Amino acid sequence: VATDTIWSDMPAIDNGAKFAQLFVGRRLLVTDIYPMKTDKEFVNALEDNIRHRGAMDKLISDRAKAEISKKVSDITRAYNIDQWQSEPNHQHQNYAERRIATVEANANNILNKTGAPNSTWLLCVSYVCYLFNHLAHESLHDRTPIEILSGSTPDISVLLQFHFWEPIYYRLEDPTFPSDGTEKKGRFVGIADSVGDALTYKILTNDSHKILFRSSVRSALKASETSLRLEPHEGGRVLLSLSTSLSRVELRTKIPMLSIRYLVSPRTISSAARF
Amino acid sequence: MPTTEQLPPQLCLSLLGSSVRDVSELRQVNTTANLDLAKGGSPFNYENCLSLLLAAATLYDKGNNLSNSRSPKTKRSAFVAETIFPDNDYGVDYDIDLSPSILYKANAHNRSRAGDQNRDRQGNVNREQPYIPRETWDKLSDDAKAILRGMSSPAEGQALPNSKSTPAFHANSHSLADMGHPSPTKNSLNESDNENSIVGTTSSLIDRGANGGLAGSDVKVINKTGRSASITGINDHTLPDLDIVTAAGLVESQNGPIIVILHQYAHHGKGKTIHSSAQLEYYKNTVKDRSCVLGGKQRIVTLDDYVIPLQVRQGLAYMDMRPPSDAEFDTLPHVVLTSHVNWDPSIIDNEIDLATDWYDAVQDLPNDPYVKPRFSSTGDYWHRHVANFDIFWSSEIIARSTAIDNILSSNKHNMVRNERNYEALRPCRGWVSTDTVKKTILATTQFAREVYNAPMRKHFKSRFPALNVH
Repeated sequence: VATDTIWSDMPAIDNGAKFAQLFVGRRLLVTDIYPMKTDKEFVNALEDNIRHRGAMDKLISDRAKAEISKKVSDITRAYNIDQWQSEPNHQHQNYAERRIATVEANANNILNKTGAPNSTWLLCVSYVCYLFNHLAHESLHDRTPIEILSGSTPDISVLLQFHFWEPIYYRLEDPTFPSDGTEKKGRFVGIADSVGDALTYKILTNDSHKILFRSSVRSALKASETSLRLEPHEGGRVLLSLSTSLSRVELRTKIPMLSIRYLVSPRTISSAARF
Repeated sequence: MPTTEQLPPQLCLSLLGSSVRDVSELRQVNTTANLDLAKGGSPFNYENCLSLLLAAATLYDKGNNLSNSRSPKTKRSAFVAETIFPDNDYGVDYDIDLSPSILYKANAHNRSRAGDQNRDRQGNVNREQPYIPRETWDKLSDDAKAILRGMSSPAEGQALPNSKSTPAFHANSHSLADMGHPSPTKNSLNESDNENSIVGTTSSLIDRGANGGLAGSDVKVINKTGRSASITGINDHTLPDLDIVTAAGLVESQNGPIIVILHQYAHHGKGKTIHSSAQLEYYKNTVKDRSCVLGGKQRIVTLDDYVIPLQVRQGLAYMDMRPPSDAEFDTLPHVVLTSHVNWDPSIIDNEIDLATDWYDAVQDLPNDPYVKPRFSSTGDYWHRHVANFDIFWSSEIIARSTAIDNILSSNKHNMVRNERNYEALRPCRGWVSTDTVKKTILATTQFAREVYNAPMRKHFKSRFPALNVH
């Protein structure tokens, strides 16, 4: 297993972490990432990875002090883990460097596609690592890394429900009537594989910017299921998009129907059409 | 009446004596006349005999109270059946100018009818036949013999030869031998074709569900074995301690009446005899009790190649049988139907072991039919096809030369699964390539379903049960 540290110039949105330690198997390509606030937390990350995946045969790293510290040596001795470090200024010898480049590229691609803020880099990297573990790879004969590791075919249903940074509605627990409503809006930022039932997700709330773990989640992108209570201006935005896609004549004929559907006055629709 | 057509006086006397032979009081007149003749007296002529018989008949009627037959208190007689025949049953109008041959035929016919009651009662039809002493028979003219023998007048040209008998007479020869006749001289009336017929018999049941024979009232018990058996029937009804006997019955075969010997039968003495098919077949008899209506043979072929016909009544196979008389028992051929060895039905027991491949040992299992069945064992139609009617709109398609090919092609099932839209899944897969998405979909499962209904509710268990994993 190769390991290296991902550096960020921006604290993560949920816990303020600026580092993340990545572990990747050279043969199985199973990738795990653990956030760190300081480099001293590498030991904890190593122990978490051993706890999660089992002790590796060899730990490949660079010559970073945190990765070759005495504590790390103690752990590797305890678990009979071999250690190997790359030569300084020879990053190519560390396989984790190559994997980090791939993960960062995909994370950037996702951030670009979704418009997620940079502060979500850690969430996105974690999501990408989880995604990569469940993606078929050519070197694995088009099997997924997690299948090669565990021996059982994984179910990726949880990955097919939402995409990263997809707006969602999550159900509120014990809301006050009627101010809180029944649900709130958030963003899908990952999979909670160690919380709750199988389809439990990481939700980043819009208001408090905290990470919640919820299974009662529905997409906010379905126009017919949009909660106008949470998005009072959504009707105007929809009308704006309609006005650009439809001709004036078509829009004028659909004003009564749109007025009923989006609960706005016909005048509003007419003004949107003029816009 | 011409002299040639008059009966000889001696024949008239014999016929008169025979006609009253069944009544002991009237028969006594004939006996007295014979005794008188033996003592040296003058022989009776017809007129004297007739007057004596009339007097005796009057006394007989008074003694039996037959003169009060019109009174409402009629005498009840067992075994006597009253048979009423229509007056014009025989279609013969008697006239003074009627030919004697016709008169003989009519008289013989009526006599036989009248004797049916006595035949049933006594079980011996020989007694109702006119008894003709040998010396009297020898004195009869050829015409009279021919009339009595065949009951057809010489004038009709149907006289039968004396020395040879017809097949109908052949079966009756034994009874005539008992009576001392040198040649068969029996009538063959239509109603009672022969004296050993099984008219008035009872039906003995051929029962494939019985494992042993039961002798009823229609057999004659020959001897008892000294052993007994108990018969258990429906609802555990038991006939205890029935003697196991050897019985005999008279049945009809292709060679005439025969005596069947029934060994190892439990004697009940009442009702119908029940034959066990297994017991009969164990003695190498062939019991074909399937009705001819169903393609069966409906007969029993004995070990001696006698064929006994069976009657199917109300779905059950019966063999008409009655107890034989002593004379019949002595003269008719005996055919053994069952073995005299102690009958143990368990000797034919055979259990088929269903645990093993028993059907491999069976050589006559039905093969696959040449024409495959259209329906499965559960009633589903094998060749269900959904044909598209639209293809027949084209005149080219319904052309005779291509019609069969088009029908066959229309019946082909070509189910194509829609290609999954992998492009739409790319956002959920981090916008990786479509090829990677496709390979991932093929390499993984997607069984879970997200179930929610607006507004969302709290569920202590997931709506999709497979999600309840911890």
